[in-house]
Amino acid sequence: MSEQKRSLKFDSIDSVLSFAISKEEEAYHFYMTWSEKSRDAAIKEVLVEFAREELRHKELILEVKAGKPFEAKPQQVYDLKIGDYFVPVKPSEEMSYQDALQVAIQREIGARELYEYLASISAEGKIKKLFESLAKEEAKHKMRLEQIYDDEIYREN
Amino acid sequence: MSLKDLISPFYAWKRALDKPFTINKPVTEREGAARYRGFHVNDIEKCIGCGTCEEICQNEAIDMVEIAGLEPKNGDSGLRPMIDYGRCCWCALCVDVCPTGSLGMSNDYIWVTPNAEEWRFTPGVDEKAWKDDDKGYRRTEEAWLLNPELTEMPVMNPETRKQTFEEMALGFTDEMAVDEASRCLECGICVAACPTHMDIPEYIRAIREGRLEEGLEILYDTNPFPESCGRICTARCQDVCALGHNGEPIAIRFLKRYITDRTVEKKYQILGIGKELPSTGKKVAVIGGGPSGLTAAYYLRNYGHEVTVFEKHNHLGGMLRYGIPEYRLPKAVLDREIQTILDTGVEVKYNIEVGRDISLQELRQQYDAVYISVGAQKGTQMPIEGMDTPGVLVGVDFLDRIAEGERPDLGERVVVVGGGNTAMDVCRSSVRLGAREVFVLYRRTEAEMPANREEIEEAKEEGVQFQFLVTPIKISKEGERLAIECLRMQLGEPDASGRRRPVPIEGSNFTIQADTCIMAIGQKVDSSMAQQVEVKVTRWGTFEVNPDTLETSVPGVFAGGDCERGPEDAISAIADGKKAAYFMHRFLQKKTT
Repeated sequence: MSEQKRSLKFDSIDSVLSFAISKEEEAYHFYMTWSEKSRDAAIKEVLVEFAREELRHKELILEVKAGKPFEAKPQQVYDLKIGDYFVPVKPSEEMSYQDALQVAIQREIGARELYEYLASISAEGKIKKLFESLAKEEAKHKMRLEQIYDDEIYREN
Repeated sequence: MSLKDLISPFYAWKRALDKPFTINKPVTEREGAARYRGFHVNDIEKCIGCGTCEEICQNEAIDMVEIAGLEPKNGDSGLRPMIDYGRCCWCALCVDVCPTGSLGMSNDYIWVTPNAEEWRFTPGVDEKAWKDDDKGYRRTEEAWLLNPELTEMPVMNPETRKQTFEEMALGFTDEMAVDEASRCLECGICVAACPTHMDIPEYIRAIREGRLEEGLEILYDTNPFPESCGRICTARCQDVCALGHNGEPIAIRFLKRYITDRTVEKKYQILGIGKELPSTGKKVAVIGGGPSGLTAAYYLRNYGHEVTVFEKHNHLGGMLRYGIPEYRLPKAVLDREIQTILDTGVEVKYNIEVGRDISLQELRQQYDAVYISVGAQKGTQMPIEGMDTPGVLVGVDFLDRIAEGERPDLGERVVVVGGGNTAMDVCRSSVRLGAREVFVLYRRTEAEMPANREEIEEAKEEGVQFQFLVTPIKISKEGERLAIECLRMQLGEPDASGRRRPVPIEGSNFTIQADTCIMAIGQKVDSSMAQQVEVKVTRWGTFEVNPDTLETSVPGVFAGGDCERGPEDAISAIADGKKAAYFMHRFLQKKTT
């Protein structure tokens, strides 16, 4: 278990949502930073797209914080598990589209696992449910990225 | 004169007061016989607009016409037969020849209209009472005027070919070629399907009529690689061949090869290779001497421009040389085909990698136009654990070594990962290198394999074993051998796009032992040189071009083939080369004025 996971404590819905918002912000900055660093104009755009996606996630959580119920759209989420067997990959200035997708998929896996863990240590109730919803949301993001990976990178696989 | 002769005129008056038969028994109550040849019907979905009916009609009663809302598509001209009943003699030849069986005749034979224009109508499109009639005349197997059976190409038997890299397809005899050419309907549906739009019906007709020299000229009008394509083309033309709907499509690819086989010795004379060409004084650089670059070079040369090809290897041919094994395309055949192109006056600079040895910027300054055709020669890796284990190879690199003449020892058991044509070339080469057992692992099902059916079947004949719905997740070394840990997959529920994707089955892990594992899951482009002149590239690393002209974001710099469209077949690369040559020529003409 990571240090980060051990040190997390939540006593209200608001604190959970604030935490989730900070995670999305952190992801946004991560992609924007690497977008600036990337040497390839097309990959810069890809990373900006990923960053914008994180902003959309943040807005969704902000809406929940403002009182909107956290209702996931009825969409089947399935796990292609493509990223589950990746060797860890680090972002670099020379990363290709394949590398960028790998980085993003791994980050979504990390985020989902974190929320799943937090749900598992939360007592039954609203907070646990919220963590479960957040984990499902991250699983959805992972699914979308893995579908792209499946179509584009694993075309002959 | 007999009494009967005297009475008979009066006898004829017997029915004088009867109502005419047609009033007593109105014609509308008299249905035509079950197989009567009445007005036509046409199954509009089945019809491909090939126009064979129009061609055979002796009265010129049929015209192929456009239909509102029906767009042409691959294998379908979008036209449908309109029939003029002032000309139709109801002979049903059109029905008996129809390749798809869409055209038939109802048993309806009565129709009255005061409007002469209405006597021409489009069955299946225009609303008629008999539109959905089941009765009437339909062609039968015995009456079909076409020959659905393919003339088989003689090939080496699987046991022999497993031992050798010698070419497996032996070529048509004259008789076989004429027999096969005689099946062609000349409908031309294939021309639209061919990326470079080869005039297939015309060169097949040339075979039938024994005009092989003209046949060769027709081939070179659109493709300077007919010998290679006669062997390895993906033959999209055959996929749409009208005969393929109810029989075997024409062996177009092998007929092309036949022309080149029979004219090879007189090729230079027929094509006028070596004759002085007009000179425009313009200089063009072609980066990459694969099928696309050399095609562009050939046509640019014929337009009169000076062409220099920059090739990073010490041989030309690109993926035709380094991606296709000799048993499908002998190097000697490829070499002589390339030499023909070079002998038009194309200059080549070998062992020069643009981007490393010379910059794209420099080429832009030294030449009037540049064509980038560097292909997609970098193998895609699966980012799983153990990819760097000794014994794990990349498909395209492996084929490259074979092309260079290496014959690596792969051991007895080889596992190939992937389901495309590269994977097929890799597994079949492995068989020829002496591997006793060769397995292909593919994440999806056989139906989804992107490899050509023919290649898959030939691989099976050579003993390659396929394991579908299986993916490797980790590779490690166990003693002398590789341990490839795999997962079994199942197709999940259809997603929003309707596609069923492979999903791992929990706990289905198993391990395959192998001596060598070759990953052949795809290729990508190395477009790093693009940054030197700020040519725009896509996220996949392919060059971004204007699809109409193949010009990149930098004026005068064009790109085509795999480096522009991603890994594709040779004929698409050739088509791009020809198209680029045309638009580069236009660009250079404008530059003059």
